[in-house]
Amino acid sequence: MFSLEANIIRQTPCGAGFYLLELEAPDVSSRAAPGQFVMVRVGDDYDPLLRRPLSVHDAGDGRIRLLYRVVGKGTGRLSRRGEGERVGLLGPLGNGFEVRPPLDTAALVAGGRGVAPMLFLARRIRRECPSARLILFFGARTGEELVRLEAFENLNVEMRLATEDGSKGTKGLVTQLVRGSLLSDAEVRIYACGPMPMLKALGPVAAEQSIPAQVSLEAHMSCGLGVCRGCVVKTKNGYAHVCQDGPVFPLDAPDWEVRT
Amino acid sequence: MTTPGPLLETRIGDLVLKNPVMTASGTFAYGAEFAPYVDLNDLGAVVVKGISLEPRQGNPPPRTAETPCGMVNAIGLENVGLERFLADKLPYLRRFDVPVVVNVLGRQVDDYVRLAGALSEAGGVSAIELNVSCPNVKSGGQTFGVDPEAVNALVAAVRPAASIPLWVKLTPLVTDIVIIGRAAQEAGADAVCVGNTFPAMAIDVHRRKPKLGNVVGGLSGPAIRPIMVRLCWLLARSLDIPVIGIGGVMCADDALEYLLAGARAVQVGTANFVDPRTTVSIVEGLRKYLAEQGVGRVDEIVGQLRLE
Repeated sequence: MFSLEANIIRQTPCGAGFYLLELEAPDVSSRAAPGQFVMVRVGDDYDPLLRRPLSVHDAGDGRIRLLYRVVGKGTGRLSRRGEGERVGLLGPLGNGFEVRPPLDTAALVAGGRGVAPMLFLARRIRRECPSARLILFFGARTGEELVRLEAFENLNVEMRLATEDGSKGTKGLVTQLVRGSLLSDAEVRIYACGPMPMLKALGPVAAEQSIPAQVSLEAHMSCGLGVCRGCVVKTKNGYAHVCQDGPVFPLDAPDWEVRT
Repeated sequence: MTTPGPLLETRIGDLVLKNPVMTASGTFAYGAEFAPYVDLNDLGAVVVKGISLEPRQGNPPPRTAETPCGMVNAIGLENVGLERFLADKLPYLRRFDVPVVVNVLGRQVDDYVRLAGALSEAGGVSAIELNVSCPNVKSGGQTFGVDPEAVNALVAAVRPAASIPLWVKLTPLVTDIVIIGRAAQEAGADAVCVGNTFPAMAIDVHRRKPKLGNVVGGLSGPAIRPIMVRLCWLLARSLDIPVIGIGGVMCADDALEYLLAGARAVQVGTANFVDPRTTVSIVEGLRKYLAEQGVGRVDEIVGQLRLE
């Protein structure tokens, strides 16, 4: 875990309020694993006070890339930072996705900004399991929210898109796409990140086909270090801490009845 | 790293601190979590997360909400409990040359007495900090800390059980903090810490719901610092025992506000979440300030607020 002031190499708008922030952070870049996150200080003053947890979208060449969507004051502030400025960076933090052979098919299931960790994951799977088939199931409300598709295309990831308004891909929810796909290979795994209702709906889909699934959860975090005890999620064995015990959990770990 | 010198040394009663910068309970876990960022030997003291007799799970989420220049939390005093603290957490802290202060919380006087006794005998604990912001179940759930008689009775009961220094962490939500501080002092407290978070709430107007699962919580961070500096000043000029300032200390200047107002030391809380290296940065900043001001020892500035 490193604490540093990272140079902003560039910040690029990706449409629909998404931004791609590229930072110079060699230590973080070489240590990070897909599914891990960093805590980013969006400004130098105290409003907003707390850092923002952002998952690593991609890492390599001494750099990390963060894909985030402007959802409030903190991300809004961050989106106005630019090349030549520095941001406080803490990480990499948390437990990432487990990637190891044998793996025939990896189904990456993303909802909205939950696509953020999937590019780094796809890159790691390509490296660790070169023969694996990679499918991105990506859903959003509208077509313009389906961002960064070209980056996945460059990694030869197959794409299954869904939008709630039908403006791109299949009209409907991404979980219906997963259910409709025949994931019948011997070694299939689901990796998912997205809103709680999506992750919850994925439970029966994975269970029907007996596919092991890992999900990355999102939570308000104050420290990201397991210190404040703020970012809890109810599990079958009491509260787990998203920052420290996760953010990646087995799909059947959270108590989905209380988290919808 | 920093060489702690006599310049910054301070005393809270009989307890000698290398410098006046401590961590605040609940914001530094049990120390180990900060080892990648801070050499614990460089701190004045480590105040660990509040301990109860039995482990506590804490409140339902969401447990925190950010507010302007601060945050509201309702963690619910989640902690590992006395037994696991002594077995799993304290041995790690004993490896460092830093005083360990254990914040304790209970629901009745006897809980505090038992905790103080066990921690005094454990070895490696330098002081006990009583959290009096807990509901007193014996008096209908009102917090101990708002009633001078309850504070006096609590401290008087715990005092004989505590063979190590006893500090009392006050709640700021009282009409006259000096009355409460005096009650603690008269019952034998070695220091008062002011203070705990300020009771508060935050509302999501779109969902028309409280932002915290517990509905209400405690406000911390720079937003409350001016309130706490005043309380600290009022106490320091009225009590004979040392006062420890807590609330929104983010940098050396913030710590200096408390010291000038009369605090002998400060505790750094929410800032640990923002930057895990805040405590050691403040120690460095204090050293620089003293050099610039031509002051030999940090104690010489305590209470040196110029009112004329």
